[in-house]
Amino acid sequence: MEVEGPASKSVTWGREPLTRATASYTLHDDRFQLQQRVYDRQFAQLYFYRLLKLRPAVSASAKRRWPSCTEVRVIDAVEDVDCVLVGTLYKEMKLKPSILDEYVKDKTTQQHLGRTRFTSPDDKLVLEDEGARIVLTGPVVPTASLVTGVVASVRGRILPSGEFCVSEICYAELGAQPVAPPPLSLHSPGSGPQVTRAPARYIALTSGLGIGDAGADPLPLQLMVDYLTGALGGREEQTLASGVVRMVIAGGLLASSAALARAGTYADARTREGALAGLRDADAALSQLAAALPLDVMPGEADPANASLPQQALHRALLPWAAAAGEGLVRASNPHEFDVEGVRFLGLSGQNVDDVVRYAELDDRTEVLEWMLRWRHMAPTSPDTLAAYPFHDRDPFVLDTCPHVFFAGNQPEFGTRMVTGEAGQRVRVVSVPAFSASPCLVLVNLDTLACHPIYFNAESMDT
Amino acid sequence: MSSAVWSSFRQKRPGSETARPESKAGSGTKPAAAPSIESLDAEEVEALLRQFDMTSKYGPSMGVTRLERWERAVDLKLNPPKEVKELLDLPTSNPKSCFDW
Repeated sequence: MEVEGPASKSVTWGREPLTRATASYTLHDDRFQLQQRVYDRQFAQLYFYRLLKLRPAVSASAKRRWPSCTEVRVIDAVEDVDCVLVGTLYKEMKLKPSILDEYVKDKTTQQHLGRTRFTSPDDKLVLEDEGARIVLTGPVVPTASLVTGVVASVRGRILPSGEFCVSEICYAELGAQPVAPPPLSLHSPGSGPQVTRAPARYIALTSGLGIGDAGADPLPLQLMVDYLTGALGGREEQTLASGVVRMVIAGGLLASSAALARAGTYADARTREGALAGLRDADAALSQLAAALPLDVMPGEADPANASLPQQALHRALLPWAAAAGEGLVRASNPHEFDVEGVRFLGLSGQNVDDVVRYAELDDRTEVLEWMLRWRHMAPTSPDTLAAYPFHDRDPFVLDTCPHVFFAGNQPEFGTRMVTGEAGQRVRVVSVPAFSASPCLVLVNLDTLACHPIYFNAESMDT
Repeated sequence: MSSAVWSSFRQKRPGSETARPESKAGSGTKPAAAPSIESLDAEEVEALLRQFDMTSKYGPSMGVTRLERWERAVDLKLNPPKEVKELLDLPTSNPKSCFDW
């Protein structure tokens, strides 16, 4: 940085300008794109494809664990013979809201409204394959931590009552992982002396910016933008910020799209301007970020994108300034899969995790994400309770390729864990909190997969 | 899906050859004496395609066109019979499943 001195002798601060690190980037969102949209198809097609796609992996997993037991179709299973069944699980929950409840005269059944979790001790699991279904019983069945739509394999025997008494259960487990680029493998346990590449490169993750909420404090967001553009902090913070090669906003750009939906074509100019105010603020913030570093924006639940998964990318017209800004804005779908220097990232805006938490007794969000990796499916409750497009020729939520980093946005708090697979896969699972609730930027180190949060809490500013 | 459905369905089809092997449900259509595709009339073509629709091995047939279902079966490595694709290429064959109209 040069400063013109009073005697026209240039004075430098003695430091070179910092340049941001770069990294190669490849997008893998093809399977989430919707071309022609046919909505009058039944979901049986999607469930059939899911079962057929996951069955080989689940069967292989069952064969590895129980080599002596033969796998049969549900309809061919014989009573009181130890056998293995593979199928899709369905959880019968009496508290699950049903459209038919509107027609029930007895108002006492309305008790489930207002609940955030619909599990009860009476929930039953049913295993279904193409031909038949059978109820699963026994103390081994982890009913509380399973949801509808998981493809699993059970070992046990059929009781005289017609139910299947489960002795063991297994899932597809983690899929094949693409080969990690050399720095990652150097840092795996059991390898030689660690070699660090200077400087460390990071991917920044955040979600739930909640722009457009009139009562919200704009300071944390501005602090984060300043931090990433290098306008905040001393040399150390700037060096760290210059190592951030890409930022991903995992959904939740706007606090709510209700105002946008209300201001229709016939609304007056003032209503329209009011509705667009939130979007313009978001565009302004994103254009600052997009000018400084490559940015990926995923749509969230309250954003102006389609309601069912996979959500398509936000339209370019919604973010005109950001789309025109320098480094490049990638308007991504939800789910979003991409490669940075060979490290595979896969993330969602959180609707899948929130839905699983509603229908299972799981509270730790990183545990839910780990289960999804083990079930090899990132949205098992779709299309049952989570709106999804009725695919017939693919199920894009099946995790054929195991990512290196698996994240979900809009969660209540930050959490992370390392998941290891049976074939040596290592996945960094990150639960990214909603910025409007917990102002946090998560940095994932590209070389070591270490992850740490940076908080921009501004409460201490008030005296 | 059970054998009873298969045999009752087979009896309904006019002029069926008896040389069809008695196989498990899900073996698909495989004309053993293989009359050429051109020699079949519209009714026989529809009957053979209906058999393809009813074969549960390839998944539910309602809501997808027969060609989409055949292509999905190829994708899932279920080896659907190639004759079905040839029948679907005929201009007289109905592209929709027998459950759709």
